[in-house]
Amino acid sequence: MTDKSIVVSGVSKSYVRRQGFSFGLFNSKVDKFVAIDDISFVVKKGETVGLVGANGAGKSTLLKMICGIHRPTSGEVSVLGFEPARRKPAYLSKIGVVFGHKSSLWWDLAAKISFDTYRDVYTMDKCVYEKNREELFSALGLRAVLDRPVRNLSLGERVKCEIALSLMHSPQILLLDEPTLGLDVESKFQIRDYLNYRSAEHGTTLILTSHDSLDIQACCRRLVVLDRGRVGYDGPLSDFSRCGGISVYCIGLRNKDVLVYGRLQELQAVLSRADGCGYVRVDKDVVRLEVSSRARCFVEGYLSQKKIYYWDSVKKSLDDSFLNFIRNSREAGGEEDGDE
Amino acid sequence: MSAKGAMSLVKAGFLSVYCDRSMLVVDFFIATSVPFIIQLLIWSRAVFPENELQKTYALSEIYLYYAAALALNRLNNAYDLIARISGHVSHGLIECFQVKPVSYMLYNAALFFGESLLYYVPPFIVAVFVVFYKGEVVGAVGFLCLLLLSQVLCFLLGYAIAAFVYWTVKPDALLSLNVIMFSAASGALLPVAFWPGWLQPAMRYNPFRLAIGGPAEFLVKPSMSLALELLSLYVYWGAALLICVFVVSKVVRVKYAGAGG
Repeated sequence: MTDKSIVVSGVSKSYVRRQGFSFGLFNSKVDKFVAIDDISFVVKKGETVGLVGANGAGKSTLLKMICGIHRPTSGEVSVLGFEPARRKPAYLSKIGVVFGHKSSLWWDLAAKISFDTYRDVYTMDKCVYEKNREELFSALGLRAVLDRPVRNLSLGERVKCEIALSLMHSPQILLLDEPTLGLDVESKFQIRDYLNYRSAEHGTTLILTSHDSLDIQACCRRLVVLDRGRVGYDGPLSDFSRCGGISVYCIGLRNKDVLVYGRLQELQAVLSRADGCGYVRVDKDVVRLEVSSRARCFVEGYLSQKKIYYWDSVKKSLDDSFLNFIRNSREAGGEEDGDE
Repeated sequence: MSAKGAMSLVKAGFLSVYCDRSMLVVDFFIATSVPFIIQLLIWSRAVFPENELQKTYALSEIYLYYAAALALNRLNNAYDLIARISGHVSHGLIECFQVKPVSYMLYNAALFFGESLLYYVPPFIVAVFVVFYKGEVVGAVGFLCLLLLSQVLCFLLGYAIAAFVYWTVKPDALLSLNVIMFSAASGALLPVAFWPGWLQPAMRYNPFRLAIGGPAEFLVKPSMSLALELLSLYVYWGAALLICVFVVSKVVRVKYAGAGG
């Protein structure tokens, strides 16, 4: 028996959009937009994968192809041996999907009724349902809200109900599209903790897209970065940072200060000689230095000595790594980063 | 989908209507009684004393026809169905239902029947009235049987109209089309016999008549020929609408691009 949960091979997805309005059936111009461009990857059973990318990179489209909402324009998607686009009930019973801010609960009815209804739709065993329900409701703090109409629940409570609903039938694969969008800190922690528990205890395969890097760091061991429909990075989360796990600090300088004194080249030369000073980035008005914690004191001392004003050093996060990755990728692709 | 799952969806549909009691009051008392009183006044005061069609329908039969037609009009109402599907499509919520192990059509069908359960009461009362005061058992039993077929056809009509929400910006045009067709072409305004001769074939054989006018006619004037005509039309239009819905669903699966996250 294969240990592959999801196999995506050579998948592309393009949308055809009509340009403008035309009365004619055949003479309107069409614009082809490639959302996903020849993507391939394999997700093993029990893996936790973070899917990140800029807005419009194709994360949701890819997720929708995996869960069967969209059919690929070319290539193949296989999930648990099923072709998702056929939307066989046997396949849909094995996956759980959450789209942030979208709800399948009955708005005017108590949340409990939605749970009971979907229990029967999924033809769940009563004992399994009771067990899962107790576990989910206590982990996500939902006991108090079950008798309230969904319309009276807060956003966080609704999202947690939706997550509980998607996990109630013990899916083998959980696909989450920005599930923590707009949630408070406590709700985010509850969700992250439970997803980790679920993945560790039940071996649930998890694919998570989120713009909150803490979600990805807390729940995922593997990272797939999408950039304009292509896979830019696919590997362990810990390897994504350029400095491979070393604490990295970003130091900001005003570009004007450096340029006035003609010190940029001098600064770069000094940094290139020092151990742990690997990266200097010049933006329009700001020079960002990325240095290791060991080199940090040296660099700050150098800047003070040369009377170059710098501001708070911040520890580099996954967001910084991601930002640099996207910028480098676009520079390599020859695209002008005009909006920075 | 299992029978238990379908029953649960029917129950959820029923509860979602039941919890909106103000709507129930409006539907049962105002939306049903006011049109009936208007029809009663028009036919008894303005039309009937001089009308040549007295031979076709007696005044009491006209009253009965309108009582049944109005009750059916409330029962077979696809407005909420179209509005719900439109909301799902325009807000991207349909994706939440497409990943559930039940087809979107069956999901909506179960909810539609659940939402209609309470509206079976007025036609049932009309049928009981006919049995007790007219002694007409065949018409009443046939009418009750036709109710189920009319519901299926109404759902298919509503679902077919709703399928076009993918091509519209707002659902208003489709909702208006639904209201107009169910009012004008269904026989809710006039029985088929009252329309001009050249228009009668269109009024007799269109699918909207099967949702409202057909069962009402059978209640008033039951006959084997009418029963066969109606059953044939249910089969024909049921199959035609199923094929239409199937084809449109296939097209929509390609057309629907959805939005991003």
